[in-house]
Amino acid sequence: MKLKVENVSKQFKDKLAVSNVSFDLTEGVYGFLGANGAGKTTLMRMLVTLLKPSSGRILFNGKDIDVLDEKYRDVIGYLPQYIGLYKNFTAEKYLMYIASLKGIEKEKAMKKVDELLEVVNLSEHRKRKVGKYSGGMKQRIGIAQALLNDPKVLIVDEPTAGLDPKERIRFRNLLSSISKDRIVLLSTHIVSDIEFIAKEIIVIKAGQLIHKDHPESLLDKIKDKVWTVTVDENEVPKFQAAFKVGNIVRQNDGVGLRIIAEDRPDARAIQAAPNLEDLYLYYFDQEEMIK
Amino acid sequence: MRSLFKFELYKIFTQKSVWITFLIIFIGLPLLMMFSSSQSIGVTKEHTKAAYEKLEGDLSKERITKLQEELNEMDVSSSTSEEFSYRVTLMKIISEYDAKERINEKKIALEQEMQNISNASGAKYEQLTLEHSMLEKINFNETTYSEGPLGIIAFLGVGTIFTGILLIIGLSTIFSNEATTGMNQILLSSKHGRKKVTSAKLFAAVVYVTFIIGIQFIINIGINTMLYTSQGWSSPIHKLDIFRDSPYAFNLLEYFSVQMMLHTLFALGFAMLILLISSLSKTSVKSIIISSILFILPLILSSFRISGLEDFIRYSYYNMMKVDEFFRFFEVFHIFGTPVLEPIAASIVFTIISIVFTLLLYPIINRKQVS
Ligand SMILES: Nc1ncnc2c1ncn2[C@@H]1O[C@H](COP(=O)(O)OP(=O)(O)O)[C@@H](O)[C@H]1O
Ligand SMILES: [Mg+2]
Repeated sequence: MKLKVENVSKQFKDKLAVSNVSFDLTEGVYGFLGANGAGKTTLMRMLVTLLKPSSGRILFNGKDIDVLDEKYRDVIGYLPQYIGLYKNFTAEKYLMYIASLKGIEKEKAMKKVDELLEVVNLSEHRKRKVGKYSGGMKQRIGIAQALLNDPKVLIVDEPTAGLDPKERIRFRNLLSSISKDRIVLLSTHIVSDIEFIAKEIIVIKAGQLIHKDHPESLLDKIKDKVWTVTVDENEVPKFQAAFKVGNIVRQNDGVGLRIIAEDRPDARAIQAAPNLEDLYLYYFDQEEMIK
Repeated sequence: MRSLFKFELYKIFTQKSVWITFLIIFIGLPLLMMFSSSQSIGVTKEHTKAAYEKLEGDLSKERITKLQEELNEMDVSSSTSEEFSYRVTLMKIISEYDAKERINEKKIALEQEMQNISNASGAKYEQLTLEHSMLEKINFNETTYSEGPLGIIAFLGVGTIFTGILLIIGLSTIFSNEATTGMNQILLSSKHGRKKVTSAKLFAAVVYVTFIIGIQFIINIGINTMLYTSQGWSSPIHKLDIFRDSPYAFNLLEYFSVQMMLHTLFALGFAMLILLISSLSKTSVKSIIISSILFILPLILSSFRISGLEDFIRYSYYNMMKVDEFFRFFEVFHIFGTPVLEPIAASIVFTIISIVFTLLLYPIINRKQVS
C-alpha cells in the first residue's frame, strides 16, 4: 500500500500554502511536524480530497485519488483540526450518521459504534448531546468517527490538542496498536506525541518539505549541536538572546540550559544527546514550541 | 441511502426555527380564521347560508329581473342582520348574473373578430378559436351556496406566504449548515458525503415540501368546512370576483385540484432554488437572506406598480405559487406557431428550470472544497 504525494502545491489567493511537496507513505505512523501556518492542515486536506492541489497529484496505489473518488474516500479516515459537530445530536446518533456517510450498514455500524465509544472512553456519555461535550470529549468523538470504517489511510490533524496527558497516552497507544497495516499521518507541534511511535518524521516549514526521515537519522543530523550548560541565574537572558534555548531547569548550583547551537556556546557547555524536541527547536523558532 | 435520507429528514425537522414557525402559523392561523369569520359586522355566515337556501337556482334573465325588483323594493333604512345578509346575497347573485353575461358578450365579440380575420388558419385565428371554445365550455347557469369551497380556494392568498416562509426556514440551511458547523470536512471526505448525501437531502426536501403543503391542506379544509360546510364544489370559478373574466371552464373542485397541483409544483421548484442557493452559500445567514429576498422582493414591488417589472413579478415564485393569476385572463404563448395556454407553458418551463437547478447540485457538491 502506498500513498504518493507528487509535486503538490496549493496556492490560495495570495498565499502559497504548500509548495512543490513530494513524498511517499507506506504502512506505519508518520509524524508531521511543523509550526503553525507551515501548511500541515492544507496538505492533509488535499490528502483527504477536501482541497484540490493547484498543481501536482496524489496517488493511492498508483492511481490518482481524484479519479478513484468514492473508492478512495472509502478507505480513508480523517480527523480535522477543528471537528465539525451537530450540537443537538447525541454521541451515538452522530457516530451512526457518519457510519451511514461511510456506507456502513446498520447492524455492523451499531457494533462498531459500541466498540469505538468504549475505545475513546465515552460509553457512559453516549446519550448526551455532543454540543454539551468538553473540548477533550469532542476530540475523542472525533477520533472515534475517523476510525469507524477501519480506514487503511488515517489522517489526523493535531489529534491530541485538548486532550489531558492521560488521554494523550491512551491515544498514542491506540494509534501504535492499529498502525501495523495502515498508513497513519499525524500532524502535531507537540513533539512527545510522536517521539516513540513514528516510523518517520516529516518536517514542513513555510509550505516546503524540509526533511522526511526516521527519527534516529533526523536526530543524527543535529547530534553535535545540542549542548547543556549550568549558568548563573542572571546570565540566562544573555544566553536567550544569543542562542536557541530549549529547556530551562533550576538546579542547586544555578540554572541548567539546553541550547541548540552549531558551535560550543560557552566554555562550560557540554554536548548532549539530541531528542525530538531539540530537533523541533532546531527547525522552528522557540516561541512556536509547545511541550 | 435509506439511513442517510432518514438522517437528513431528522436534521430538517429538528430545527427549532422550523417548529417555532410551525407553531406560530398553525396555532395562530386557525384562531385568526375563526376570529375573522365571527367578526364581519352585519353579514353572518348563518344568515348568508339561509339566504342562499332561499335564493339558490338558475341564473336566467327572468329570475334575475325579479330578484332585482325585490332588491329595489327592500327597505334599506332599518334592517336586522338577517335582512342585511339577505340583501348582500341578493346583490351577489345579481353580480354573478353579470359575470355570466360578460362571458356571453365576450363570446360574441370573439366571433365577430374571427369573421373579420381573412386568414382562417393563422396563429391569431387559432388563438381566437381556442379562447372561444374554452368559453363555450363554461357552465354558469345556476347559483348555489359555495362559501366553504370559496374560502378553501382563497386560502392560498396567505397560504403561499406560509409555504414560502416555511420553505426558506426549513431548507435554506440544508447545505450551508454543513459549512457553518464544519461538518463539511467530514461529509466531503467520506464515501457517500458528496453524491448520495445530495440525493438524500433532495428527497428529504421533497418530503418536507409535501409535508408543509399537506398540513396546510388539512387545516384549510378542516376549518372552512367546519365554518361553512363543504357544499357547492360544482359552482364555476366565475363566482369569484377575480375569475369573472377567466376563460377556464373549471368548477371550484376542479380549480382547487389544479391549484394544489401547481402550488406543489412551484413550491418544489422554489425548494430546489433554495437548495441551490444553500449549496453556494458559505453561511446559513447568507443563504436565508438571498432566498428571502427572491421570495419577498416581487411581493413588495408588486404594490408599487413599477412599469417594466410586470413580467418579473408575474413569474416570481410567490406569484406562481399563488396560482390564481394564471387563470384570471386568457393568456397564451405561441410555441412553434401553436398557442399554448400560459399555465401550461409556465409549468413546463419552470419544471425544466427546476430540474436544471436540481442537477446542478451534483457537480457543485462534487467539486466543493472546504475553506
Ligand atoms: N482557505 C485559505 N485561504 C487563504 N489562505 C489559507 C487558507 N487556508 C490556509 N491558508 C494559509 O496557508 C498557510 C498554511 O496554513 P495551514 O495549512 O492551516 O497550516 P498549519 O496547519 O500547519 O498550521 C497559512 O499561512 C494560512 O494562513
Ligand atoms: Mg493546522
